[in-house]
Amino acid sequence: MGLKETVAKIVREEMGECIEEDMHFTGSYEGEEFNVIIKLRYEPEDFEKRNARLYDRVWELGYDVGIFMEYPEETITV
Amino acid sequence: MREVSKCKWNIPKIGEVEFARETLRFAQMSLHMGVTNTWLYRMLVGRLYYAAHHLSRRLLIEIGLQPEQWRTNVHQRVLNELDQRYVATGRMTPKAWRALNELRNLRRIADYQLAVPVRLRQVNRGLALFVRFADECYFFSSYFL
Repeated sequence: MGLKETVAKIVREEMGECIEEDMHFTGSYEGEEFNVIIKLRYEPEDFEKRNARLYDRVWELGYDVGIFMEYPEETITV
Repeated sequence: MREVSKCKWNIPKIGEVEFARETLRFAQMSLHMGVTNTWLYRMLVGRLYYAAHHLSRRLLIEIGLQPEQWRTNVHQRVLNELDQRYVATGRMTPKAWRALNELRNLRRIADYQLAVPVRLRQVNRGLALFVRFADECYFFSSYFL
């Protein structure tokens, strides 16, 4: 299993039902392996715990992988 | 009143803690003014991260490292060194360290991925992460700075 698949698997295990299916990968921009962009369908009550586990597990892989959450917010920006 | 040191060009030199506090103040002020501009959101996320990065470097300098001499992967290395020298030794909580890591990711996307919208929610998240990390750095600053 490649690094992207491994990261995607970890994301699904930790965030599960809270995320949209279509996470996507982007980069590298500054020498990192890649960034994974995750779209949250909703923010679970235990988000902090899940997010912490996600970060720790990805860090333990030993690669520079970026994680970015798109929150379910309807903020109007100009 | 705190004495401000000056660099060789006679410009008052600002310390990392002072810079961090000022960055936070400006970020909060911008949001309190009700700014809803995505360009500004991107900028605030970037400034918050770099203020945190400066605090990190200061912590590493104070234990004898020389980040100014690092030439590659500086941001990743700062995280690595903090992890090994502060988190692993119990001087920094994983929560604070993780906040720096997440803030870095936020900044990278805000700066490079124009197709991904940066919303108020992300800026507020960035502020919370910054405070989480900086508060632990301020604790050390009472010894170092």
